[in-house]
Amino acid sequence: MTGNLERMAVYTPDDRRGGILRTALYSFRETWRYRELVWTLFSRDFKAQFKQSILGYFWTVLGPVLGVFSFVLMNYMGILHPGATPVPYPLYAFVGTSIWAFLMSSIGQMSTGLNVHAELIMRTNIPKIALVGSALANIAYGALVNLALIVLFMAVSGVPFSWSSLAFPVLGLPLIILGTGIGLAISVVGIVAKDITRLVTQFFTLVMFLTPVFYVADQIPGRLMRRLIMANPLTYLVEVPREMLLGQPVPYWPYYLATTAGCLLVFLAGIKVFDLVQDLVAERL
Amino acid sequence: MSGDWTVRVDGLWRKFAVSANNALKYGMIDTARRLVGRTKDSGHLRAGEFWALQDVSFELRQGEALGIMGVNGSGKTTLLRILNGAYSPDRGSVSLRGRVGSLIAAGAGFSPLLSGRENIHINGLLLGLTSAEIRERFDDIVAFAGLEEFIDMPVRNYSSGMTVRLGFSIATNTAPDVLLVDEVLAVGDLAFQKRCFDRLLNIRKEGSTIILVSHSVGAIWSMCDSGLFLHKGIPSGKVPVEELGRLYDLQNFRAAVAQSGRENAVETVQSESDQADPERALATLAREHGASRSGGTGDVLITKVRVCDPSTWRERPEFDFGESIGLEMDVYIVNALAGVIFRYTIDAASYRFICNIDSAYDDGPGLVDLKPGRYTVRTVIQSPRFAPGSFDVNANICQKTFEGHLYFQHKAAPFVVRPPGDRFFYDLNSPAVVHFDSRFEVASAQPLKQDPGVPAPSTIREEC
Repeated sequence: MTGNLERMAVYTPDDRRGGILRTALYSFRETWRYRELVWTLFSRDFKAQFKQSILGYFWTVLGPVLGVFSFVLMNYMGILHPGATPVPYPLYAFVGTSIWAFLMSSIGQMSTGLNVHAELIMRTNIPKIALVGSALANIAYGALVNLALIVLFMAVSGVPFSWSSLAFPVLGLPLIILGTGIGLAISVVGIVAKDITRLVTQFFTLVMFLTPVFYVADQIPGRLMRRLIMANPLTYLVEVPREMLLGQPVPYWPYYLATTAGCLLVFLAGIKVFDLVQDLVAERL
Repeated sequence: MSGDWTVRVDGLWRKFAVSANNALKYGMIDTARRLVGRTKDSGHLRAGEFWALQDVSFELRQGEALGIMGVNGSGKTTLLRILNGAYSPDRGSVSLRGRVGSLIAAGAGFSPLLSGRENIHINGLLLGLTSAEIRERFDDIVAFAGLEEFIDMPVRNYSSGMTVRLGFSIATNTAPDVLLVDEVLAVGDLAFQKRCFDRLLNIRKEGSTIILVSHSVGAIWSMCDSGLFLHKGIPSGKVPVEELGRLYDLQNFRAAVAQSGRENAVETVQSESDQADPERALATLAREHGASRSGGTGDVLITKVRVCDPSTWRERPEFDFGESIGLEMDVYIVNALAGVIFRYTIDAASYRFICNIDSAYDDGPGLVDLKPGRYTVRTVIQSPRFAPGSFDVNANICQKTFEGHLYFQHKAAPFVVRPPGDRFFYDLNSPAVVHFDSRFEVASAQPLKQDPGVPAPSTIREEC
């Protein structure tokens, strides 16, 4: 036997970890404690996913490329007028959708984290936060593939890299943090009421049109729409990383920093919501 | 072996909603309560909820093994899931010390596409080991499961037995401080089952606390000293394992009798209404003859069979082991009959016609001649040796001059023989239904090796 009886698990009706920061600290510690498991679960699913498909790893690359294809097609057909882009439109749109994918894939991966591991929740006693935390590996993997593709496409289109391009991966983090916070909250609430997950996903699909993902913000003709776009905090989270990457002037730093602070708050709130509700969900999985 | 407690369950309550609609409604209410900083609404039952566990308390030490039994839906799985941290309690608390391993479904978390080797690694991590600890135990795990040749094959291609063997081997080789086992011992071939028991007993000896949920009295009896019986979520408290087997079997016998009662209910009601009108009863009889549990020539009817207390002749459903049983049948003779024989046969749960009780042979009136009219026949089965279990009474009326039954009513009345409190039937879950007191002598006729230190062949006598 391990002889280590100091480790003790206590289950009571309303387990609480105290304040928001303590909860966050606890969540990080648990996820870190099970980092080996998190990594193994990720590589297990990764391997399993590709052992049964012919195109294999190519699919992760194909997804983002196909995603941008519809915008490029509409552009060439003359339906979509994105305004004058500083780089060729396909590259501009690809960078935009890639940044947006940071947010959407974080929400998606996190919110299904408990469902994916339903069996393990019932049959092992790994903390739920650690199982959900394993989605971080998937998010990181998706982001890395996107980064690699961006570098490849920039090189192919002959768009020069600048020193500021190096900041791009860091500047994309707020969207991932935001998506993770939202995803954590709906991963538990969405199990109690499944509508929540759909509602949130649909909401953000709509918000994408109010964010300069595949068009240029200040070239939108309508004043009201332009105001709406500028009032949307996500605008800055998309614009600033893209401008830095493409070596453009960056006018929005203050907004970007303020929004980033907001993302951190949403993230902490997401962890708190997860912790508050997590013990109600096992019976509904 | 002994020492501090490792598992402590203190006043544990847990409830569930019956319908999915209520579960959704209450889930949302509780979620909202939590989000505004209140506790979930768990102190009492809301409409449409039921207690799955009511006030369960026990404490286990190192090296102790607790068996948990109960019929389906009694709350065993819920209790195990709370111990494993999947469900939270509604009241009370559960504390576990040390590393908790669970064998709730052998092979949980196996990825079918990955090899046995990769799955050992993943499952080890899931049980809380580090990679280094897993590497250390890897060979033992493979050897115990007997999968040396197949360890690099995808688990998908394993037989179900191989999967279960691997799961069991991982869970028990990881030396948990507390091991939760749910009904996974009855797997694999007999040789492997034997090794499973040996392994569990062994890790128990090394200090692991084991909680074993099973429907097999034998499995629990061989592994545990104490038990917890659950009936509709109400616990028996920690009892000796023999008492656990008794409670569980009694519950099963009662359930069997209740089931048999439900199945015969229609016929009973009918025969009661027919009592007033023999003509109609005969018509009913003719209609149902052959297909149903009762039938006959129409010369005579059995209108009621009762299992009774042999002294007061009041109806009684349960008897102690070895206690005399009274049987009473109401008979309506339609046509005068000569040489009538009353006969009962008894069915056990899985056997029919295990014995005869016959007025022509037993201590009864022999052959009787009866005029038309109503009669009541009373029979006492003297100190029968039915093994504890549930039984059904079949009643027949025959005639010396007729080969078939004048009337028969099968499954006419059920009864239960309770497991005795003063002795334990080791074979409670064996299929035997009759018990004979017997005497055993074990004599060693010829020792295999004559050793001067060994005394002369001895005789062990035992009365049981």
